Amino acid sequence: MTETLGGILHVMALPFLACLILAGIHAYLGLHVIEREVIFVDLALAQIAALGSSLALIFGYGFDSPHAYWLSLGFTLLGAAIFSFTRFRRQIIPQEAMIGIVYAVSAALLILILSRSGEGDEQIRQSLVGNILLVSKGEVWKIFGIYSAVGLFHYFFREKFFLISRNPEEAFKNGLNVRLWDFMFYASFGFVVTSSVKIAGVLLVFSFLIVPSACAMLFSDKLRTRLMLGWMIGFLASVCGMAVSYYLDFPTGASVVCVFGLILAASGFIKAVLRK
Amino acid sequence: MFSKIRDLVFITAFPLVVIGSSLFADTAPLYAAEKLNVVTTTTLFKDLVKEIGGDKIEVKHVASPKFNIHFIQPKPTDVRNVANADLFVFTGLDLEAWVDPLLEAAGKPSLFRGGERNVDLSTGVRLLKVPTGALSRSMGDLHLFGNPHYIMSPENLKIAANTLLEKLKTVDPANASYYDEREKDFTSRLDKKIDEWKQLCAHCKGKEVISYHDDFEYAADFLEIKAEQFIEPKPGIPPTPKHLEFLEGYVKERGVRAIVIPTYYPKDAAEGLARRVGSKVVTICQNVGEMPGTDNIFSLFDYDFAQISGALK
Repeated sequence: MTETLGGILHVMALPFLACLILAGIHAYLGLHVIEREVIFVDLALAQIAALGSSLALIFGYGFDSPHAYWLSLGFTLLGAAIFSFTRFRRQIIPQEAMIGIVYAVSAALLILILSRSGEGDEQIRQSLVGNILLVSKGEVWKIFGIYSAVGLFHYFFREKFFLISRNPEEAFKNGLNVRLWDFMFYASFGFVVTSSVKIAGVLLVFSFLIVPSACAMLFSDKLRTRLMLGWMIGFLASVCGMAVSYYLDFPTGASVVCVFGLILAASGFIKAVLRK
Repeated sequence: MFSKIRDLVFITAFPLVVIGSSLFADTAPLYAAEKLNVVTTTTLFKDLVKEIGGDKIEVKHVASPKFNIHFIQPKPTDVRNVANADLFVFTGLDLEAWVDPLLEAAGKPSLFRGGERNVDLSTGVRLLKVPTGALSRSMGDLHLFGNPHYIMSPENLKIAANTLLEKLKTVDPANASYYDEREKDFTSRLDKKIDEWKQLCAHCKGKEVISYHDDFEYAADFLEIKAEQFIEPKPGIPPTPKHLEFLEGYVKERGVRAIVIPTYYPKDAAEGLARRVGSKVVTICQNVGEMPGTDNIFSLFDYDFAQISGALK
């Protein structure tokens, strides 16, 4: 049968490309997220973006309308503002707490809004679950464009971004406008995450964000090495996840997430062996 | 360390290029079969295709019968099956919201909505609850074109069988008379069954049931039962306290005897209401194979109508 190679290429090529693009940007952003200890910030931002699109329904616009898109973007920026304005030099409420609260309240508000709008429940749920298997060519190009732009932006200002993530105290001392750069970080991050969640779902996006950096941390302190390792891990998980999903006929996103889990376990094992 | 990394990058980049370039190559059908390959969304349509297509077709379905048809996550096999399909059969309207991305992923334009190998079985069906006047999106989840659960009326099954027949004849004219004959046979068996079902539920005429979702409307229309109140205040929205309170009063006042609920919805709201007002909860199936003993279209409706008939006795 010609179906083995032809079949896997036909069915899995686009999801695989989408995974690679996701791996590229999220392995990088994950470094920041782990340094900042704001692990679940992507969930909170995705949830607040979903809240934004649900508001469009209340005003009688469709879920796919530009209004819904701009509202969700606006809400993402609002989330970014909340997270940058609740970070202080001496923190009273931990950032993780703020993230959890933003997540819970926006999820609850979404339920309230949907109960009034009476529709869109399925689309909103879909926008948080995603199905990477069914990603379209247009969507792949779209995320490629958006993530390249965000990547370039971060590349130009990499020193500022890494300084506020790794050593905020020094950034404050140097007189850097930490709040502004925090906002820039969360805004660009939110922009990326909300697009990713729509096509890949919160589980997969979370894994792409956290697992590569977490594995890489085991082996190196250097950012550059961590990033390289992170990209390789993201790539490996995508390849294996696609293969598992295709040959065992499992849902694609969940397969990749489980492969990520295995990779982290294997990394821990390798680390333990290396130590001896 | 870094030279090793560079090697790895090279090794890994190779399959990437191969896969990437395949994206831009036009995808031909993976293999040709002698039988007509048909993919349906539901198991009910699969059985219908078997009835009309007989041994001239090979049929596969996407949605497992035990899941809510609104929320299906297609898997790689589904994409592959659709890519290999000669016909794609589905409910149409907005019942299967996942269909368009699935068809697009399979990448065969002739199977897309409106394509010559796409079989939209809602064609020619008289729809209930079509929004009139200015289209308001606040009227209900998913149902902008009217209630899409039309297949729950056996009368509409006849229309669907005819739509399918015409499509099969166009795509495979060599077997046209074979399909014609099978459709005639199916319809005559269905007609007999329709009489039987109507008789079985004759005593239900004019009575009322509460339905969980609006998927019972067509069956109710067929049996001339009233099913105007739903446990969901709006399709897709779980019940609120006020709405349950309203239903309780409504059921008591009218003496409604049965609450109809599909197998895959949470039963607690329906059962709670039934307990408080002393009516029965009736579970109905919409897919072939959803419950034991519902392994074809006829036994599926046998099951459902027996449930209704029993509850309203």
